[in-house]
Amino acid sequence: VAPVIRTYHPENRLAKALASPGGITVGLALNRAEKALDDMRPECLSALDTKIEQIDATASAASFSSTESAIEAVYALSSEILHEAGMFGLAELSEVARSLCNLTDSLRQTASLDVQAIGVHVATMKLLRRPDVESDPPTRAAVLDGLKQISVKAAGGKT
Amino acid sequence: MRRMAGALDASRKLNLERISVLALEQSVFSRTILSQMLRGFGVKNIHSPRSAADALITTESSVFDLIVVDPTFDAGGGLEFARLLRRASGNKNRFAPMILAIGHSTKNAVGISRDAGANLVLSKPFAPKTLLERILWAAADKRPYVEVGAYVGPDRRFKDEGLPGNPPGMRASDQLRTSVGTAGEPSQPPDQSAE
Repeated sequence: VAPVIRTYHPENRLAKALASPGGITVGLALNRAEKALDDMRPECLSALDTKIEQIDATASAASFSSTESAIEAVYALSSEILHEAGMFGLAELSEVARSLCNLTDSLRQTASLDVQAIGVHVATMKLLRRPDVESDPPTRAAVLDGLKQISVKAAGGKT
Repeated sequence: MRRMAGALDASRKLNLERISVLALEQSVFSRTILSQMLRGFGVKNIHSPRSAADALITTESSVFDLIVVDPTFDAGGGLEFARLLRRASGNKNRFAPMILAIGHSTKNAVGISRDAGANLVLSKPFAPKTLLERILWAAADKRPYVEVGAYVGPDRRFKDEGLPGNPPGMRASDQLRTSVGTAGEPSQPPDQSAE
């Protein structure tokens, strides 16, 4: 029996509003959004450091409530860093956070907290946030490359 | 301007002053980042409930022109919110344009988001230009909505013709309808051809 298909043609209110008189140009809209982000930058970068510390504390705490909750906490924090660091041009930090997301996502399957692997990511993130490293693109690239090499070795060691 | 508008016509006028946006983001800063971008675009009315349950209640009493959801909002409640809203007969926001903003996106996550009924999936991090492009795309989306089996959302039989202006340099991962493969559940029986 073929499934019943119901089709709807709702009004797109967004399209109607966009085309209404008034408003601003795309150029001005983008300028204003960029300016608003720039204004937030110091506060957001400070919050990133706090999140890195929270991951460190979560992974190294001897008495987290459960392995699953610790994994979820690390995943949530690294996902936030991925987005927020990327928003402010910290591409390498965002990449390390993505790597940590991948790691914790895989840890969900085994329900085991790989404290050592998380610790390597935390150390890398802290290093990237050091002013002398943050202001030096080749060093940042080398730090990220180092993490990738460690990840490859670790993956090779498990197979 | 730090980043150029690219294929977006910088002189084009748009009016987002009167729209209402429902923005569901997990962290305080992600929520603030999204709100600040939207305010930069001229949006004045932004609602950010703290839970998926509150968000659903809000949709029963307020009308939204755009919904932006992080699927991980409220411990995965964002995705469930999307599914429930699309299936909420009588809800005025049932067919509101919906963008799912995914942080750590896997192919599986994008497919699941698509099957929840989203119009678009947006990979984080994203620049203001990318968000604005997606909003314009959502506004230009003329696809009807279909309800078939467990799926309620934009009709996926329609060909993807790209973003308005077809901007260069867009990441393939941002293009929902070109990156997710087949749906988890078909929006039409296999023996029916697309109209």
